[in-house]
Amino acid sequence: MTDTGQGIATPFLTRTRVQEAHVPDDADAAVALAFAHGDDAVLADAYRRWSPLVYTSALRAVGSEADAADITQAVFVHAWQGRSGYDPQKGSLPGWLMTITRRRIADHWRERSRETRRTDAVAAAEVEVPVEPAADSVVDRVLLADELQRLGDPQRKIVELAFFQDLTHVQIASLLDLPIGTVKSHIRRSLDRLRKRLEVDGGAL
Amino acid sequence: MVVHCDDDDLTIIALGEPASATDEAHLQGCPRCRSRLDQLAAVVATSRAVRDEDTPVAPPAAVWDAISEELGLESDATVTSLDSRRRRRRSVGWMVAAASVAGVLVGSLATVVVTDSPSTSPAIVASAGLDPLDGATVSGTAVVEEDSTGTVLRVSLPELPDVPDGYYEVWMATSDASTMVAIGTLDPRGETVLRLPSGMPVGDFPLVDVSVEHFDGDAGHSAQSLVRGLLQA
Repeated sequence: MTDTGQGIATPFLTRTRVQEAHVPDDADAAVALAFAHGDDAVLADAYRRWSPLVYTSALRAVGSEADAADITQAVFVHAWQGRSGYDPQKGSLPGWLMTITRRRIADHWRERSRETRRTDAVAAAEVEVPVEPAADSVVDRVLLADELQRLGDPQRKIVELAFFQDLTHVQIASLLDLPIGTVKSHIRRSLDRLRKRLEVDGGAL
Repeated sequence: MVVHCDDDDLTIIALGEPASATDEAHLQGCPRCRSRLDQLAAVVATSRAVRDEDTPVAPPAAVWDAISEELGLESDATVTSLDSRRRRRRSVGWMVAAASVAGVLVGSLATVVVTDSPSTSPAIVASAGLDPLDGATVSGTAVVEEDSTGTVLRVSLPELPDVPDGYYEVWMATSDASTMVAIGTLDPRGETVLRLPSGMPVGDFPLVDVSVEHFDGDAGHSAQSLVRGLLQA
């Protein structure tokens, strides 16, 4: 059945709403769908897109490049072998990968504390117990670092001044010669974008 | 009527600036605004804890090699862009550029042959993000898949409300929307897989559209579109 245009009013031609960067783009969504369907070729693509998030979270959490590399390998192998358990309807693929990453980081620390206890028992000496950072906050920081990088100007400059240099919005407005209301709404939109990135890709919170 | 705090103002307060007397008083008595403020303040706190070292860096190349070996992937499975792999795999290109004219679109998916994969799992030929149109709030995806039995369109949208006295219909259209093909009705409860008519020059119809239709005997498009997206390889 072909319709030659009857009833197609102008709304059909108008595309609305420009997607913001925290929303997965079409290519991200296609990779996530293909991943769920088990297309072999897509693992490499998922790896290319999201391994920096996994690796850097692991590196910041465990402090050793070799251990971070092992965790990254374990995450992608586990994800690929368990891909039938990933449901694109329920969450983003990077979010699922970050959930696995948190678990692997926690496993790493469990393992380390077992080793430390063993060493304690053998040497009966004072052993420096490694400090375990909260995996959640590490993953969140890496996601936010990624999203902050994606902010365009003037948002990036405004966020820099408001978040990291502690200027008030009035000071920023006068420094950048922008209306106060504009500065406020840029800050609000940027913060909202950061919040949503954590919601979408933060995994289990 | 309760006037809640303005979101712009809550953001500024979350950053540590003093609240106005009005906002201060309102926040005392409004759990909703307080919880929103706490949520924003938590994001501010985590953002301020971000260090340069938190910026994502790619793992060493050896990590991919180890994964590839552990999973027994083909030796040539290197980390390349999905697009270039896909393009190699198809005998007919699916070249859709935004705002391209319909005349440029000459790919016929009916003749697509997957040349270098013995797998019988469906190959994703093209996909589109379905974005909400005026007034709609839902979004989803549409994927064209090719397997040994033919071509299907897989439409994924979140659960949709039932249409009183009506239904949702999936359309594919030329990029200028001058010609549309009704593909089938959409199951409002999740994913719908629709088989495309054999012989349909799918490459000529890159726009996927979901409309709200009524049992009114009119076979044409109602002009009430819910979501729409442009298929891309």
